[in-house]
Amino acid sequence: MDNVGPPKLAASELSYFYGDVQALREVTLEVQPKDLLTVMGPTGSGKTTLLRAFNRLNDLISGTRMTGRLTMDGRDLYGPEVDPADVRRRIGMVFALPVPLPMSIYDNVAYGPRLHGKTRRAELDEIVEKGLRDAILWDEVKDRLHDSAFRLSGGQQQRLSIARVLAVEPEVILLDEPTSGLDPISTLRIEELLKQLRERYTIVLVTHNPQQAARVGDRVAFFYLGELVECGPSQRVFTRPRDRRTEDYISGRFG
Amino acid sequence: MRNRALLAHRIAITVLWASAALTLGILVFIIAYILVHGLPVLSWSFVSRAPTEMGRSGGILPTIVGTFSLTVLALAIATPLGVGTAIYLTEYTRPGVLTRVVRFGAESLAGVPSIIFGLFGFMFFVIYLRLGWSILSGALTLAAMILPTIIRTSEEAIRAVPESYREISFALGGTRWQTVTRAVLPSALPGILTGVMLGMGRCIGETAAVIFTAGATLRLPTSVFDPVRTMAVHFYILAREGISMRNAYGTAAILVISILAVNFVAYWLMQRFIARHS
Repeated sequence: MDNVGPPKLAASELSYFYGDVQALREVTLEVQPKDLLTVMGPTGSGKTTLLRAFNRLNDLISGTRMTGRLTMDGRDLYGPEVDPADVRRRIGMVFALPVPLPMSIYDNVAYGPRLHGKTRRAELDEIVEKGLRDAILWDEVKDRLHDSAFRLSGGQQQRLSIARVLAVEPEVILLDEPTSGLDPISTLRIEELLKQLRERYTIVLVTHNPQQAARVGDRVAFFYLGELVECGPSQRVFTRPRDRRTEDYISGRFG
Repeated sequence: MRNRALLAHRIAITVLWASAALTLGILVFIIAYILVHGLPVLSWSFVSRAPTEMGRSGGILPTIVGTFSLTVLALAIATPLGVGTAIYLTEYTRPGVLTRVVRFGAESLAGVPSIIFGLFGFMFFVIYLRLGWSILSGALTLAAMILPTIIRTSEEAIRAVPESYREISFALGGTRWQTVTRAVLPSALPGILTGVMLGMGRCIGETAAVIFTAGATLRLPTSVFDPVRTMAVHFYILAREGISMRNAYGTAAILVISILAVNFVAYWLMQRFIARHS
């Protein structure tokens, strides 16, 4: 890989604590621009913490402590001049459970752009349509944009969450087990959607399902008990894992 | 044994049913009693004209104006203060000594009898701040009285908003204030409104706190610095001084009808709001 600039996202010697509990242990990791990295590992391996540290969502929880460095385009995400709200806009986050805000489909997608001062109707219409199209949801909802978002199915709600994130034009999209609550068909749709999005965004997908990691990711990182065990091209990790724990995990011996 | 269990079950059902029926019965009886005695008195001139002979004859217009202005002003003062306090307690501070002190204070205040608020309002607003017997003094006193209710109900409503709404808003780059106003408050609004309605009901029906602070004049007020008599106070004076039981019932009927109307409208608004947002 010929890397001219700095990696899109990087963690160096990142340790993370909730009170006395250490969730991440000196993790060093890089994600190149337009790369799709899948982060896999069993529950409690620190995957979600990694995502929430990157987009500074964990700032909102009291009693957390972090050592090490997180950067985006080579710039420290926790630097004194950095506005956490700006970080969160540029690094979008899709949560495990699809949760629509209690408003219409349209207003859900327009929520982010409105936060950032976009109020002109025509402009919002355009952003909403583009977001929904990019999330492959437009055709299913274009005739009922002003219906409550709660009337959508679980899979549709998760694609709505993705549209909501796309609407604020992030540079990176983090997805925290986005298919964990979905049926196989909805899961397949989200995975296809990710394959389209990877051409335009840098993506980090967290999953506890090694099959999903194998299907979707260019590169895969395996986390176990807060430690980054192994990281490399999916092909290589799944055929010739270097660590015994990785081998046990992908062959289904635990997880 | 089975028979005994069955018997206990039947007795429980009967007792529970009876308490529910009794509660509802008492409520219906009171309302019906007042309406039966009050409705025949009502006419357009009763609500549109000023009283004559201390209220023995004529209408009750100034007291309707009095109740309305006091209640609206009290809510206009207490709602932003109470909701603001609730937002501060839930969204801007971590639970600690401060939140416990404020909560304890609000709860203690909620248990204080209204006449104590009346006395406080008289000493502080009427005398010390020289506001006199006025709509302003009365409204400030009522606002202090209903503030704890509004804080408590708003706080509960805000706490009940799912944490995920906040996370979504933050994750999209929202600030704390944007998150509160756009994601949290709309969901908490029905609950907040319930607190405001409870406060409104107490304002409309209050006598002790009002008589000390807003006076009991029958003249129409021209500004918030003028004294007023509310419907509840009017009703109290008419009955207590034996001026006219007939007109006292008429006033009570209007009072009951307006409280019912306010509650129905609030309920209807809330249903519409909920239907639109879920």
